[in-house]
Amino acid sequence: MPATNKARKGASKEARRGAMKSLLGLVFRYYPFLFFVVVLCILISSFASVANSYFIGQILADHFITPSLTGAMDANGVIDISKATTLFYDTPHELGIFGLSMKFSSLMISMIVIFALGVVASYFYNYLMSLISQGIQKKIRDELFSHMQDLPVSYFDQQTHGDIMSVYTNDVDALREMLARALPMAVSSIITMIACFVMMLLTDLYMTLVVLAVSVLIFSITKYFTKRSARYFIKQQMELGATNGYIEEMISGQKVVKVFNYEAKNIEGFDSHNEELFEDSVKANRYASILMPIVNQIGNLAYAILALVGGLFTIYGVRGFSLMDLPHGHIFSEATIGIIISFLLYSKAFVQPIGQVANQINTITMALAGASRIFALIDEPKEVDDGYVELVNAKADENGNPVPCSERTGHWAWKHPHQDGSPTTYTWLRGKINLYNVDFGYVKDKIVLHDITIYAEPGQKIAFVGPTGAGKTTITNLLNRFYDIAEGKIRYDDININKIKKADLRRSLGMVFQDTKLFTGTVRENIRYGRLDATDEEVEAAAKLANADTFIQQLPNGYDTMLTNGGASLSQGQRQLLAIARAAVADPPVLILDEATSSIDSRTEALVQRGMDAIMKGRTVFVIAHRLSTIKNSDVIMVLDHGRIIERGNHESLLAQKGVYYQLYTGNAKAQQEA
Amino acid sequence: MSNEAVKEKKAPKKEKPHTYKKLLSYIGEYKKDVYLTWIYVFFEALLEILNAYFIQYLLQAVYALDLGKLLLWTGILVLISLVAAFCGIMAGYWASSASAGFGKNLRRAMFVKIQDYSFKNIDKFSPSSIVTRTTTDVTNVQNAFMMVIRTVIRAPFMMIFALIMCFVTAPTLSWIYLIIIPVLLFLLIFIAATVHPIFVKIFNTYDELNESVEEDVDGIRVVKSFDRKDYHVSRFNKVSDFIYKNFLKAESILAFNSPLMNLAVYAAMVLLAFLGSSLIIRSGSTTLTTASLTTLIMYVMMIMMSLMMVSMVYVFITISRNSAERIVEIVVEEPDIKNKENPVMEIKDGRVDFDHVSFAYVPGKNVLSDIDLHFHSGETIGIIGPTGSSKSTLVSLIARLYDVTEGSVKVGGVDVRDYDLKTLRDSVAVVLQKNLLFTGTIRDNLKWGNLNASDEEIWKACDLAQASEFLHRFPEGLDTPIVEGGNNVSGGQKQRLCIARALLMNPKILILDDSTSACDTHTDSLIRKGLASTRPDVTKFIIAQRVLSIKDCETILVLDAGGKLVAQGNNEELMQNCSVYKELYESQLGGGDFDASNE
Repeated sequence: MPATNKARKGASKEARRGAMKSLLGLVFRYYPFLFFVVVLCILISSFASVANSYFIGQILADHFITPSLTGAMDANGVIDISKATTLFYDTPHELGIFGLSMKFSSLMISMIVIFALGVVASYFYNYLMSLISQGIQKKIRDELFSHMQDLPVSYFDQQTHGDIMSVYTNDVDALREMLARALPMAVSSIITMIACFVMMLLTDLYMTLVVLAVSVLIFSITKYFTKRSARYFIKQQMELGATNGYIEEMISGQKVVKVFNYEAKNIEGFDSHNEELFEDSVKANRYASILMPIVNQIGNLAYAILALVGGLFTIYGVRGFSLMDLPHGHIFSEATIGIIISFLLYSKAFVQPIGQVANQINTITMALAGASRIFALIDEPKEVDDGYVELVNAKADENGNPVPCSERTGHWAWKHPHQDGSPTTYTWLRGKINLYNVDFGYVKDKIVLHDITIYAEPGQKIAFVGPTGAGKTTITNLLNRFYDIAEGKIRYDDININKIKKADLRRSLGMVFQDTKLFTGTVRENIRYGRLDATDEEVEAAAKLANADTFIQQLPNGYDTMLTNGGASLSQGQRQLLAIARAAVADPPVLILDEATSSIDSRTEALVQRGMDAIMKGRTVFVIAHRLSTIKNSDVIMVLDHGRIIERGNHESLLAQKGVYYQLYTGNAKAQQEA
Repeated sequence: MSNEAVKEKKAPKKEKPHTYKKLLSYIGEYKKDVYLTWIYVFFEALLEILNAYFIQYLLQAVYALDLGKLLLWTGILVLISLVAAFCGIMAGYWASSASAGFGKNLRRAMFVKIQDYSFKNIDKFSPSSIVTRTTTDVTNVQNAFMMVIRTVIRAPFMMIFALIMCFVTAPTLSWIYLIIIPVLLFLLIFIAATVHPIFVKIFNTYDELNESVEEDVDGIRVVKSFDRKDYHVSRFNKVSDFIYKNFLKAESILAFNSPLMNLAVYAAMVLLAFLGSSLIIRSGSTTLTTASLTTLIMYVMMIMMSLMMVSMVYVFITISRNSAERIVEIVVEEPDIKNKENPVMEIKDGRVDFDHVSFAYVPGKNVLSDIDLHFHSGETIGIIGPTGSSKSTLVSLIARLYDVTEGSVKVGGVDVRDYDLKTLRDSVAVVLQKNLLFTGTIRDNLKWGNLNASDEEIWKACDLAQASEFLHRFPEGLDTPIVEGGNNVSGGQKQRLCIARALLMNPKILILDDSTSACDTHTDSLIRKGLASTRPDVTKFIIAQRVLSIKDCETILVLDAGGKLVAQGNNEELMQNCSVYKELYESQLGGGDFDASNE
C-alpha cells in the first residue's frame, strides 16, 4: 500500500471526480472492445453465482425436495421412502420459471454447464481486466515521462523534485493498486449487487425491503466511519510527511551529527515525530478496521431478521409479493423455506460487496487523488516552441556558401525557410551572439537583469564575473531559452533566437553546468551522452582533453566503470571533468562554461583550459566564474553586480579602469601581502 | 572526499531466512496487543461459525411454523451477532495499535541504528534510500502486518471450526470438504509461489524506473541542453515495457485465483446438492434436513472465504517482502567503528602522529600509502593538492571517521582506536567540506558544538569565525531561523557559522576541510590570524585550494593524485624545492575570488 512521501494537499472532490472521468475515458478510448467483453464476462459470472443461490433455495428445496417429501407422505405424516425417491429422481419437476419442468439429472447437468460457464467467464474477466489496467498504467507512465520532457525548465525550478518524484512513486503506485485490484472488484461487486437485487425483487418484495433497509444502515455506518477514518488518514499522511522531512534532513547531515556527537539529541527529535505518527496511525487504522466486522455482523443480523420476517409471514399467513409468480396469474404467494434460503444467500451476496468496497475506499480515494496529480502533470502546458530555423551540418560550395550535408563536418549552418514561399536559405553558423537591452525577471515585476547589452563576436571568449546572485547564470538561461526575456532582443548570427527551434538552439550551445549531472551508466556512456554516435576513440580523446583520462584509468573498470547515484562515487571535481569531457565530445559550435571548473584545483584547471581552448579555437565561448584566475585570459570580461553590467573590457583595460575589477584584483594582492 | 561513497549494493535477491524473524523481534511491547487481537479474532471466528450452525434451527422453526422457537432462535442469533461484532471491533482495535506500534518500533530501530553508523556505513546507503526505507517501506510492512495478524489466525480457525461443525451436521458428507480444501489450498499456494519471483523482479525494476526518473528530473537542464529527450524516453520505455510485460505474465497466472475459488464453491455446491438432497430424501428428512443443508452450504462459503484470505495474506507478504528486506538491511548493518572495551576517556594534548598509515576505501585500492607524519600540539598544518589527492581522507582518520587499513593514527600519543569515540570526537572538531546547517535558529545550530554554551561563549566563537559582523546585521541576530539546508544564508556565511559551531566544542584539534573557500581572502586571513592568536594550543589542520590560505602554516603538506605525499615543509622551503607547490603558487598569484561581497 502506498504512502505519500511528502505531505501534500489532498486533491479536491472535483479533482478526484475529474480524475475518475479521465481514467474511464482512457479505458474507453484504448480498450472499448475489451472492456465490453469484460462487462459481458462479469455478467455471465454474476449470473452463475446468482443462479447458484436460486438453484439451492427456490428450485431444489421448493420444487424438488419439499414436493417429493410431501407427495410421499401418507395421512399420518409417515413418509414412504421409495415413493419419495421415485418422485425425486424420476419425475419431471417444474422449475417455477416460464413453466419449465425438468428431471433432477437434467437439472444437475444444466447447473454444471452454467457453473462451468461462470468459471470460464471469471478467468477471462480477471485476465482481461488486468490486461486493460496494466495497459492503461503503461500508457499513463510513458505519457507522463514523455510529457515531462517537454515541460519548461521553469516548471522544474518551481516544483521541488521530491514532489515530482512522488508522482511517479506514490501516485503511480496508488493508481496501480486501484486499477489492478479495486476497480475490477468494484465493477464486479456492482454487477453482482444489481443481479442479486433483481433476483430478490423478483422473489419477494417485502423481504427485499428488509435487505434494502439493512443496506441503507450499512451504507450510513460505512459513510460515518470512512469519513472519520479519512480525516485521521490525512493527518497521518501529514505527520508522515513531517517525519519524512526530519529524517531526510538529519540523514543527509548524518556526518555532521557524527562529528558533533549529536546522536542522542537527534534521536530525541526523531522520537517526538515518531510518537505523533504512531498516535495518528493508530486512530486512522482503528476507524478503518472496526468497520469490517460491523458490516459483517449487520449482514449476519440481516439473515436472522429475514428468517424471522419470512417465518412470521408464513405463520400469520401473510402472503408475499413476488413478481416471479406473475406467469402463474398471481403475484401473492407464501414465503417458502426455499425462498428464505435463497434470500439468505442473496442478502449475503448483496451485503458483502458493500463491505469490500468500503474496505477499498481509502485505496480508491488515494488513487484518485494520485491520478488527479498525474493528470495535472500531464495537462501541464508544454514548452512553447514557435521556432522554424534549424541547425544543419554544412560544407562549403565553391563560392564558400554553406551547403547542407548529412555527415559531420565541424561546420554548421542555419536552415532558414521563408514563409513567403521563397526558397530556403542557408547561412553559416558563426557564433555571433548579441544581446540588446535585455531585461528579465523570473517572477514578473521582480527584474533581476537590467538592460544587458552584449556583443559576442565569433571566436571570442567572453567572461562573466561577479558575486553570487549577480545574474551570471541567468544570462545563460536566456541564451538557451530555458527562460524567455521580458524586454530587449537576443540575436544569434543576426537571427532572433525566438525563430530558432529550441532543440537546435540548444544543440548549438554546448553547456557545462556547475552542478554536474551524471546518469546511471558507464563512464563511457556518460561522456558519449554529448554525441551519441561518437566512437570509443573520440570518447577517450575527449576525456584526455578534459584531463579526466588519468582518473578514469584508475577506476576499477576504467571507461566501463558503472556510475550510479549520479556518480556519487566520484569527487565533485572528477564529476566536473567528466562533464567537460562530455561537452568536448559534443564539439559544439558555441560553448558555455558555467562555473564548470569551480571544484577543480587551479593547476588542473589550467590544463583543462588549455585543452578546451584548442578545440574551441575560432568558436565562441562564454565562461562564468567567480575565481579571477579562471577568466583572466578572456577577450572580453563583463563584471556583473545586482543584475547589471558594471564594467567591461579585457583584463588589462579593466585594470586600467581602476574600478571594481581593479579593486578586487589588487585587493587580493594586498591581502596576500598582508597575510 | 574522493571515492567516499561506495556504491550502494542492490538488495540480495535471495530470501534470507532470518529476515522475518529479525523483523518480528521489533514488535516489542506491542506483543500484548497482538495476543489480544488473536484472542478476539478467535472468538469472532468461533461465533461466526456458531451463527451459521444455528441458522438451521431457525429455518427448522420456520418450517415447523413454531412461533416460540422462531423468536428464540432469532434472539440467539442476534445476540451472537452482537457479541461477534464486539469481538471484531476489539480485534480491529488491538490490531491497529499492534501494527502501528510495530511500525513505530521499526522506524525507531532503524533511526537509532543509523546513529551508530560509521562514515563508511553511511556512505553505503544514500539518504533518499534511507528515507524510503524508514517511511514507505515501514508503512508497507505495517499494513501487511495488520492484514496478517487478523487473518493468519482467523483463517485456520474458521476452517477448523467449520470442518468440525460439518462433521457434526452431516458426517457422511464431510469428505467433500476434506478433498476440496487441500486441493484448493495447494493450487492457491502454487499460484502464489509461481507469481512471487515475478513480483520480486518487477519491484526491483520499479526501483530502477524511479531512479531513471529521478536522474532525469534532476538533470533536466542537461537533458534539454543536449536535446536528449529521445534518449531518455527510449530508456524509460524499455524499463516500463519490461514492467508491463512481467506484470501481465504475473496477472495472467493470478487471474486463476478467483475462477479457482468459484470452481471449488460450485463443485462443492453440486456435490452437496446431489448427495445432500439424496440423503434428505432417502432418510425421509431425518438424517439431514433442508435446513441443515443450508448450514452446510454456508460453511462452504465461509471456508472458501478463509482460503481466499490465506492466499491474500500470501500476496501481501510477497509485496511487503522487499520492504522487509530493505528494513532489515539497515538494522543488521554492523557499524564498523565501535568503542573498544575499557576505552581511554581522556585526551592529553593535541599531538597527532601518523605511523605508517595506509588507507583504502575499497580493499586493494590504497588511496593513502605508508604515510608517516608527526605533529606537535598547537602546530598549524596546511594541506594542499589537486582533486582526488586524498586530503580529506587523511584528516578524517584523526577523528576516526574511518579506520586505517594499516599502521595507526595517534592523538595525544594514544591510538585513536583506544579512545572512547565520544571523548575523541569531542576533542577533535571537524568542519567538513560539505557544510550543513539544520532547520532551527542560528543559536540552535551553533549549540550543536556545545549544548550548554552561553550567549557570551557563542558570540566569542562567532567573533573568532568572523561571523559576528553579519550576525549583527541580521535583525533577529542569533534567533534568525535557518531553513532546511541553510540556503537562506550565503555560502560564505554558512562556512563561518560552521567554523563557529566547531569552535564552540573547545577542541584540542581543529580540522578545517576547505572551510573558507566561499569566504573572501581577507576574511579568510582574519579567521586564521584569530585562531593563531586565541587558540595557540589547538592543533590546526587546514585543507585549502588556495595557496594563500595555507602558505603561512608551520608545516605544509603537498599531496598529489592517489594520495602521494610530494613534499612537506614551510612556504620558503617548498618554494625552493617543490615544483608542484611553486607552480600552484604562481598560477594563483593575482587569482582572486569574487565571492567577497554580497554577504
